[in-house]
Amino acid sequence: MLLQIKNLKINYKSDNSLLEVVRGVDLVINQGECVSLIGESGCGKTTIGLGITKLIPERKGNISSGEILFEDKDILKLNPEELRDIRGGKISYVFQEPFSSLNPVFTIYEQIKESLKEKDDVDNHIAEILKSVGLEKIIGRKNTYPHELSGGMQQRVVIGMAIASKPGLIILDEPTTALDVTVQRQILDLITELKNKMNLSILFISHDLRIVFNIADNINIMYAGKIVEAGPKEKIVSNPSHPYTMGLIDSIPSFENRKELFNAIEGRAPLFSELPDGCKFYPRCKFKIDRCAEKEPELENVSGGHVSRCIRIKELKSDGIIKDR
Amino acid sequence: MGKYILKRIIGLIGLLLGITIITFAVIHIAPGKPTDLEAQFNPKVSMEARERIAHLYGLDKPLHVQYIEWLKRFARFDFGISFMDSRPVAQKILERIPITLTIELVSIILILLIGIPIGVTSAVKEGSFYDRFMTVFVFIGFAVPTFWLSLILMDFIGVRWGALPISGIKSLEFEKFGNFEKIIDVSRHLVLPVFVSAFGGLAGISRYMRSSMLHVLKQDYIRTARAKGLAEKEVLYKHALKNAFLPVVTILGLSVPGLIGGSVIFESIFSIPGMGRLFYESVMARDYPVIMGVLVIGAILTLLGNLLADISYAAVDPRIKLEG
Amino acid sequence: MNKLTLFGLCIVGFFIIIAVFAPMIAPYNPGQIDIENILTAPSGSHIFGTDSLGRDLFSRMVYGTRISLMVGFIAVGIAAMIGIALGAIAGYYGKWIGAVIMRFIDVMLCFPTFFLILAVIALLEPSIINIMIIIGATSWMGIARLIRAEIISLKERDFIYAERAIGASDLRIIVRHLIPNAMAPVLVSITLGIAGAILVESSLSFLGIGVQPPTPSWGNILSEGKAVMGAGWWMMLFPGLAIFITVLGYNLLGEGIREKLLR
Repeated sequence: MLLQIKNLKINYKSDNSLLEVVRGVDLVINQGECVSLIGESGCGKTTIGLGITKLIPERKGNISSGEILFEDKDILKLNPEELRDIRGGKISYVFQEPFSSLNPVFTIYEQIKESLKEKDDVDNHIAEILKSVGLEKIIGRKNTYPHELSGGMQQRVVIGMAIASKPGLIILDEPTTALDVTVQRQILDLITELKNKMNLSILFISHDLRIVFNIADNINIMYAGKIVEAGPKEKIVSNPSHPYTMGLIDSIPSFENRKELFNAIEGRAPLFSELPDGCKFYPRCKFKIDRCAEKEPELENVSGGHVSRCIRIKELKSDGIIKDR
Repeated sequence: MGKYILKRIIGLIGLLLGITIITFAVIHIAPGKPTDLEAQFNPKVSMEARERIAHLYGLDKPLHVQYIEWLKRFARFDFGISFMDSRPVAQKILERIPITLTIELVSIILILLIGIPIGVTSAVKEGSFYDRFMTVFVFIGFAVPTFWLSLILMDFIGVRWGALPISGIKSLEFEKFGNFEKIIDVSRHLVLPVFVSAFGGLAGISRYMRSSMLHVLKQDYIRTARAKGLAEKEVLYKHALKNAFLPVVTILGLSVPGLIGGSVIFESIFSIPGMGRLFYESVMARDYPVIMGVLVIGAILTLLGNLLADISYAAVDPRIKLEG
Repeated sequence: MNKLTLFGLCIVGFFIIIAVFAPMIAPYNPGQIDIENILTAPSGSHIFGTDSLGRDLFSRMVYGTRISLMVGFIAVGIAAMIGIALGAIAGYYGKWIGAVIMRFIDVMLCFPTFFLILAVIALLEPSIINIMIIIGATSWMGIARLIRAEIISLKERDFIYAERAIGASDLRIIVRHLIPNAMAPVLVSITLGIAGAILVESSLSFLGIGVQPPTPSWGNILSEGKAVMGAGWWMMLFPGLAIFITVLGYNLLGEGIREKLLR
């Protein structure tokens, strides 16, 4: 186990009150694994990503409890120096907007240099990195600034910065969402290639199942601050075991079956200030019964390594209401 | 970069033209002819004499002709002769510019040295007691009228305490001083005027720096810098500061006219022989050639200040370089 | 509301009340000369002391409030009218009329404003009306730029297209729809502008080319204070304090409005 998150709870400050937006999340990432975290915007997935290295600004929120074990040490208990060693060194990030992630007044070279661990033979190291992210064109052009590059190229730079220190874990938060569709494909391929070449572990945060489908080994579905279903990719996709997951899969427009209307999930994600008792998906669920609203369900085993927070799933499947795909 | 400067300078010509037109218009707002004042002092001046003077100054020609002629002379740096003491206007202004400019420059340096750190640290410590204290302090700085501040300082430090001189730029015994003592003497005379001049500008710059820094600190690239594991100091003073400083440079350029305008007050109060006081005296005496000269020179200085600010901005912000 | 902003609002309100109810607040006639009581320090009968003609300083200051506020409001009112009009035209019509107006603004901004004001005031006569007009005529540029920027972004919005589609005239669109929606940042400028105008008026009066004695203005009272420096500290303290507090009040209020708008 490279990273193990245990019962992580994170609060956000909102208008003088504290809202719990991550309400007890467990996550495990093994060496060489790509674990994905899927959810709608506002479900808390980005917060978890930032929380792993305590990147949430004090005035915005705080981690209230839990453990984050990285290489067997609890990140939450590290002193600032040790924390800084991990950030950018052993755990690095790729965020959504490549342009705003790069400092406009410094050159690409300068910014990649900052990510390097070795302070000697800098030019060669940078050249290597640029090559491995497909930016051979920029090698040697030391005066290139972020605004001179296209979105795709900028994201390659950001990825380059992330791998510069040969990290153990890279956290990607919607890395392709802000890019053109054709470029998305290229970047995803690049990430896959790097993962295989460098035996990286990846936490891939996204709202879109399709994007992570090829690269992920495990999928974690998040809703209203908790994981509602988790397991190996194949099992989740062929045997989705939570109404929310099923809704996500169904809402993916099918290219072949274009006569179908969109199957959006009815309703909206709840506000953290107005979470209902019991199952949080209750208001939008097609299969709800009264018992669902009484108590928030725990994660139950569906099959080996595949868990779900729906209390009805076993019965719905055995009754044939929900079929395997 | 060179193309950028060239383009700006060409744009300046249009502005210069506009400046001269406005200056000319301002003078001719006043009812009556400029020569009336001279004539007023001497009731015996006859109608013919007045007409002769008017003819001498070209005042009997139609306005647009007067403007063109004035403009032609102006382009040759011939600003005419002062009504008050018949000395060339250009010379009078030239004598005064160095003093005013010195005070302005030292003010600007002070403003930068003090205002920027205050703004940056207030932003970094947003919401703290320090920040709120500085905010109050800054607002007070904005609101204090320069002439009141000058008077109070003059009264307490100058008259009652006697620590600093309050009038002119040299003491009476100036000539007897050695070179080093001369410098000290002038400096002592300039302390209060510079302080007064810088006071309001300090408030403005620190406030602006603070909001610029706050804005930058919210940007994604600051998050990236922290995610890279950079030390907080590096994040703040390398990544954030350079970005936050950019708009402040422009503001500095824009504060030049304010500083020049403000010189009228403290130069009058502290009897500093600078451009501001010259302007005030000429205005009171209806000395039109000097008034026009100072107006135009003042505007030109402002233009130069803005140009300098723009060039500095372009030099620092890589995004601008390419726009040539 | 932010505490500081509230404080500013209170100050502003306080002085407005004093100005409006001046005759009822002032214990003495501001012009009443009393040769026996020249330059007396603050006391029971004269809480701010008297000036060099024995006039009660407090009463003069109270009436001075009227002048300062009146000049502040009207000067800024004039600046706002000019600025909104020119800014709206430049923003709405653009092209060469817009360019001409913008260049005009650029030129005007080249002059140290105070120089311009000084020149014009001294050349005309320093009546209160002239002061208000000239301050207004030299401080509209910021407002014009703000309005222009807002209108440029607003005029492409759908509700404007809708108005055009039903045949509304340009004037109607500008006046009834664009300008009201563009006013928000201008409100800040106006509030801060009042503070600025009060400062300018008192500076002018201090230099002797503003409000002329015997009409009391905080500025010309301060000028008297300079003349009697050492002999009458109250003449320097109170008018300066009044100007300072009033300007502070408007600044706090203006900045508070700005913070509110940024949310």
